[in-house]
Amino acid sequence: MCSSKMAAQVFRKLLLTKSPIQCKFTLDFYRYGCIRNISLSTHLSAAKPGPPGGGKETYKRDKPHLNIGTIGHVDHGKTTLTSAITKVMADKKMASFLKYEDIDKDPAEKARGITINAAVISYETENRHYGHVDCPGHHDYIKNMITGAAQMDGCILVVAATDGTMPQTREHLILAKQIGIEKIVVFINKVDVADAEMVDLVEMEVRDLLTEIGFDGVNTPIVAGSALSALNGEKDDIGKDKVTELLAIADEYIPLPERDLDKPFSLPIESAITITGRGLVVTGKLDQGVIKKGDEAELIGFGKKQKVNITGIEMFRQMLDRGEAGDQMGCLLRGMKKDDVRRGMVLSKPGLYQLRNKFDAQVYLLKPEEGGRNKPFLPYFQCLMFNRSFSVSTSIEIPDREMMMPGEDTRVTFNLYSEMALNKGDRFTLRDGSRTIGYGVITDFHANIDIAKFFEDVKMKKKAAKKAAEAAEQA
Amino acid sequence: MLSGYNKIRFMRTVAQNARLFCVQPNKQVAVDKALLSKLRKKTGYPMINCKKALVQFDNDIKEAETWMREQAQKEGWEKAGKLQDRPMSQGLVGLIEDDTSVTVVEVNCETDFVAKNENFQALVSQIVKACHKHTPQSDNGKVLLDNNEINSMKDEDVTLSDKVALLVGKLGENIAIRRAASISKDSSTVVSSFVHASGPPMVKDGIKLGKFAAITKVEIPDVDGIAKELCQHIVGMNPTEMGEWRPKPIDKKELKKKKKEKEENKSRPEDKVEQRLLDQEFLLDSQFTVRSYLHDNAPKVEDFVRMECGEDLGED
Repeated sequence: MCSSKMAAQVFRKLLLTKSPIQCKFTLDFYRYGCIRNISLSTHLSAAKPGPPGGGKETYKRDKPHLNIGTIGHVDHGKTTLTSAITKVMADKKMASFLKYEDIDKDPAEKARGITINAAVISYETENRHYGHVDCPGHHDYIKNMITGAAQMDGCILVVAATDGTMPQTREHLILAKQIGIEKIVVFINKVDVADAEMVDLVEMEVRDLLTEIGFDGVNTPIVAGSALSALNGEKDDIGKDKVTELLAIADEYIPLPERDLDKPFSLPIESAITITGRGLVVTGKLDQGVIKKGDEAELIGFGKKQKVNITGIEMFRQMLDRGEAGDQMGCLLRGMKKDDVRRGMVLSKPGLYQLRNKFDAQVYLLKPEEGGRNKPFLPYFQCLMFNRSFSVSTSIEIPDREMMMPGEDTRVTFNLYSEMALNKGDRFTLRDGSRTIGYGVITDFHANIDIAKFFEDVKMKKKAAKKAAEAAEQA
Repeated sequence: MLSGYNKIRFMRTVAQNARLFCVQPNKQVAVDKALLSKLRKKTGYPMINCKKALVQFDNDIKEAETWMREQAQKEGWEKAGKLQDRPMSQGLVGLIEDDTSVTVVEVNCETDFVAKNENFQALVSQIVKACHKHTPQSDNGKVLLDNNEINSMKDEDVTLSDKVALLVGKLGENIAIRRAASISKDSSTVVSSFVHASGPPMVKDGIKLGKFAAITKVEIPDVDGIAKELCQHIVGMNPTEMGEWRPKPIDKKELKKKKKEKEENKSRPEDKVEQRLLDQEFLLDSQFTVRSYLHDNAPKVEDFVRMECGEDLGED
């Protein structure tokens, strides 16, 4: 016991030196040393967060990270598969083994309120680091998609060979489509208790269903195996080997999300300063992409679109040749006047954004418990939309419904007071006076409208309704 | 050279072929694959049950199907028994209206995946119909039913609880009928209703399905659909009681005192939620309270019912 304590202390001290080689050495020593009781606690630490440095391994950021989820009908083995994956990968020292009970929380804990379970379970393959995302319901996934929290980049569909595709297999696939997942890998589970014909039939069913819902049913990779066998360490040919195969396929078939650096550049403007003799400097944080000195750019927003040339880049009062996503910087634009620029405009690669003032968005409205309104939202409700560095007034329309309740997600049409630089997939915040009332993500654009005329029309409509009501009363 | 993915595919086919040769000892009867596929498509029951049935009846698809239907009811009850303690917070309310009355029923399930499922929606509309048909009469025109009363009702000689159990077996999730309410129409009043779904409006066989529903009974005349507007208000603002028809005459001294208190507390007016229907700000025209809006338009509200799916009723 004494030696184990010492080892733990040495380990902690070495962690502070941040030397990867030393860390690795101590980790190995730590794992294989005679200290069983502590090494056990490192495994458990994945499930129960302890005090900082309490025997935890350091996360090495040497592989691209992806969020992945398991979807499928009840009792088809989603949790068993996840557990089996951690076990198989733990044998290769690329995960901590989590038992079924560690993953599947008891019903009380599962009760509504805990909407997301993303950071606890993770595993690695040779090429990637995966985080496991799990939410209790459809609505929670949609909410995460809209607010941008812990999204799934891809998913594993689990179908039991004994059952075939069941009602929720379908619902989950529809959901996956809705939250923008394009590539799915399929695991046909429980092969140990089914026979070959059943597996073949189930595979056919799955491919049909995938195609029906809009996935590439023909080319989607399907692996048939038994998560339970893998978990129990039996029958490696349908157990462990198949789980390894599944992950290898996931590595290859599910694409990595595009890195911010590879996207076209976009710099939301926070302020503008004129420097006599040199020109105008606009400042802000580069959202995405790489800006180089001499780049052609577009200054866009508030109904204006101007071609500019970036003649210099500065950061911390020093000149730069290029700025990368995440940099807080200033760009020198020659020949521009201060009146040409306003906070909220975007300096971007030409053609990246269009000026828009009417669009459809998927919106999530916060519940009163989350700080939102306690009243429903009616058509033509007005609020402020915040996106990047701008805010603009907007009036909402609700297609096919009379109203929206807080806590719901809905498709809403927005009418902005000015034409702004927007793109599909942009996320924004809705505020009303002093509180945030909802979040949204842009899904579709309409042709730009004359906003003055729009409000005139709304007024007329309301007046006409009132007149009709009065007339009815008199009659 | 094979790429990694192709290699894996290749290995997979080898492994699958290898599996074809190991016949499991307890499944000697050969099952026609085409029949199995047909039976599974027709019934939607789990693959293994289809196979068992075909084995048992020696590939007689008709007998196999009848047997499976009987079996499904039994399995449903077993499953329902196992799942009965699992908490449910999702589901649907269904509302039906005819010339005599309006009935609304709440059915719960565990996740919204099931609430979106067609089978579940069909079940809810069956329950609503049966419930509407069998609701007893009452003197004041309003009937509230609890789950036991509804469960024992029959639709085509099958009790509603049997129907629920059957679906539990199919969907693998706990499902239960929670409550129902009905308001009957008479000659001196107008009964109106409103259903709010969390997605686009859902109507199944004339039954409106959604997350929220409200029914109001308003004295004639119903000026330009005010009863309907009131229903929408009730769904949106969640009043729990009616409130006083004639408000107490306002004492000027008291008003001053209240104003002072308000300034001292400085609480946002929206923080305090008004529970009485008549004192609430009218949803569709916020410059009136419901009372003043009604007085201007004359009809009197006799009764109302509001149902929100999964709401807390203060029970265990």
